[in-house]
This record gives sequence, structure tokens and C-alpha cells, in this order.
Amino acid sequence: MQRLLDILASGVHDAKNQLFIAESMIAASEAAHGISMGEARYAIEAAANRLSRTLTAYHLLRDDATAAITPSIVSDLCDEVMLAQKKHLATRSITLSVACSVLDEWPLDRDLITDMLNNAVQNAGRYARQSVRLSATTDDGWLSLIVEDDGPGFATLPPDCGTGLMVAERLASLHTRRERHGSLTLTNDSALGGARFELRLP
Amino acid sequence: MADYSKKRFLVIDDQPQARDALRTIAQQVGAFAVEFATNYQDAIFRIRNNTPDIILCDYMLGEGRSGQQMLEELRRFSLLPDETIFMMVTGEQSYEQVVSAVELIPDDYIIKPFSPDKLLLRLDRIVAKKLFFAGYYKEKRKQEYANALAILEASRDSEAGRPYRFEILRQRAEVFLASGDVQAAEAAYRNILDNYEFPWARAGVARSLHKQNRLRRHVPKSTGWLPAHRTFSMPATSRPASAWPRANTPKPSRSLTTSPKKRRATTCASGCSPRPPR
Repeated sequence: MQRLLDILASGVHDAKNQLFIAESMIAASEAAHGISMGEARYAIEAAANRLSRTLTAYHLLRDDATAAITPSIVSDLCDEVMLAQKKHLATRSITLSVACSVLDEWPLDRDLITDMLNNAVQNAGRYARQSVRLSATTDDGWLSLIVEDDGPGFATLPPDCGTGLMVAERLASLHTRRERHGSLTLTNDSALGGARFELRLP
Repeated sequence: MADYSKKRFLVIDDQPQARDALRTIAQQVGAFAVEFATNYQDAIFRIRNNTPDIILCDYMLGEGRSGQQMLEELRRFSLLPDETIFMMVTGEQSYEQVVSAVELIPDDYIIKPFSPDKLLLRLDRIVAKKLFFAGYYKEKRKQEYANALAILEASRDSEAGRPYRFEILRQRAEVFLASGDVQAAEAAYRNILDNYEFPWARAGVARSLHKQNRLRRHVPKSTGWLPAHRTFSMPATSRPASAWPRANTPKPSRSLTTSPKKRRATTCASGCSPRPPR
């Protein structure tokens, strides 16, 4: 099994290096010709994220996934999601707004959480009419990261448990601190009228 | 947004195509002077002779060497001024596992592929942080430890210092240790550990105890201070061989059960000697 993991990890690594070469060539062309190819770069990064996510899911199934917890600045995290998603959503006339009231660092796995938020914003964008909002708040030792939209909301609650959701829930619970585990809640209680994704981390 | 046109960049990567890609992206954030280093020795040589402002270093350097080894060599032998930006570049998700488990970390790391905008965001953030600590770095380098501590104490409660809470606590403990106040250093590190299990704080306690010659009594010989359950998976093809084992560097192999080893080598693998503080 370890050999399989090595082969997969090596393949993902090489593919991401190739994708980076492709993205740098696009960036060079954009600069040389004064054009914007943001959607092409978005597709490249989405492909890389998919590869990473696949590897993470495989780790979860093997029960050897671990969260790499480091103190991360929450507003930086929100800025990165904004940078990754805003232009793409704008091409479909959806506005992404960010409301982050957390100034401090929070111990979390930056890459896993950023990917989960990117994924949640992508999902919200698929159903939203015109707006998606990402917000961050703290209460009583918990960090809440919330993605809301103004779409029709989930048809059934709890929603059908797909692989993506299973992965997200298990990644949330990998965040532990003083016997408290992170969790994921999906509801239709969005302030914007649609679905609401809430990730709570201790 | 900081101006990067006057900054000297050094790109370290053994793969020519990857080097070109990194240079292209750096040029998009405004870089004008971009130097290349093609291997480990070449990079150390360039950094020693003319320290760049910003280093973009790939994690896989070939010949069994990793960017993490390079970073540790640079930090341990004081070849990297506090003002220099060291950014690790990697296609590996698992590098974040390394960062969360070792004592000596880069200013930041970025996972390939990434856009010029993302690199810019990350660099701007580090520039802001270094600017925040600029006065402190200066006093620390002059070994004016009382002044350095005073600056940290003042910034601790400031609004601008909020995002850097852990870094302020860490630097405070470092100053205690550097100034010889080992009891205060130990207390500072333990205080941090009461809240979070940071590997650098664990290492800090060990360093403080070592300086107090109490290490043997407090740390059982067989107990590693890194969690034993962590696993690192690296691509088989590019797994760096353990050419150069070092304290705290998890070899990028599957299971990590590092135990504290001898902390400081007297000479480094590249034959360089420590540079006195400037």
C-alpha cells in the first residue's frame, strides 16, 4: 500500500510542476500581449486542487491523514479565497464578498482549510443567484468560517452525503484542541436566503 | 503593494524549466534582477557572497538535498539576515507537514501551481511583517537585548501586533535565551506550550534546559518531542536520501520518530563557518 501511495504522490507532484510551467507561460503571454487569461489560469489551478484533494481523500481512507496545524492569520486566509474565486464568480455575474472580523492568528491547517473554503465557495457559486459571502467570526474559543449564498438552498437536510462532504467533515474533525473537535454544519439558515456552510474550529 | 523592481531575487531549483517558470512569475510581480542557483552548493555560495533580498527555493533540489536542509544550514550558520525573505516553493502538499513539525521554518511556503497575484499577496504579507519587526531586528543584531525586549513588549499589546502574537512570543523567548536568561526563556516557552503544541516551543524548552544542564533529568532519553504518529509521504522518485541528517529535520520519509540529537554541529556540510552577527 505504501508503494501505491508513493506512486500516487509522485504522480501528483509531477503533474503540479507541469501545471505550474503551463501557468507561468500563460502569465508571460498575458504580460507580453496585455491580455487577461484568468479563466485559463483558474482552470489550471482547479485541476491542481483536484489532484491534491484526491490525494487527501486517499489519506483519509487509509486513516493516516493528519492536519498540519500552524498559527495562521484568518483574514489572510479569507483574502486568498477571495483572490482565487472572485474573478471567476464575476464572469458569471456573482459577487463574492468577505466579512472577516478575526484579527488574530488561529491554529489550523492553512492549506486544508483554504481548499475547503475554496470548495465551499465554488459550490455556493453554482447555486447562487447573485451573491456569495464568506465570513469569519470567533466565539468562546471557536473560530467559525461561514459561506452563504442566495440560491434555493439544499433540497434535503442533511444533504446527501457525497465523497466531498465526507472528506470535508473528516478534515474538520482532524482539527482538535483540548479534546474539542472541529465540525461542519450545512443548513438553509443563510442570511442571504440560501444555503449556509459553517466550519467550526477549536 | 511593495516595490519589487529594486529587490534582488534568487531562484533556487535544479530543474531548468521550473527555474524559468519561477523567474517568469517573479518578473510579473515586478522583479527585475533575478539570479539563478542550480544546486545546493551554488546557492549557499551565492547567498554567502551577496545575500539576495528575496529567495525563492524549490523544496526538491536533487542529489538528495532538500530546500529545508538548505534553510536549516542558512539559519544555523547565520547566513540569512532577518530582513531577507526566504520562500519555499513546492509541488508537495506534504511540505506543510514538515513546516508544522520542525523548529526552523521559512518565512512562508507556496504550493505550485500559483499565479503572480498569489505570490504578490504572499510577498506583501512578509514585507509587512518584516517591517513590523524591523526595529526589533536591529536591536537584536546589535545584541542590545534589553532594547529588543522593550520593543517586543510594546508591540505585544499594540493593535498592529495582533496578527503576530505567536511570533512576538517566540522572539521574546529567543531573546531571553540569547541574553543568557535561561530560566525566563524556559518559562516563556512553557507558557506558549500551555496553549499550543508548537514544535519550535518544544525545541525551545529543550534548548533552555540544555543550557541549564538539566536536560538529562527532565527529558527521558528515548522520548522524542515530535508526535510519533505524524507521517510524511514523499514521491518515491524524488525522495531525498538522508545524505545529511540534522537535528529536527524530519527526513522526508514515511514515519517520523525523530528524537533530540546533538543540537549543533561545529562545521556545516558545505564547509562554511558561522558568520558573526552584523
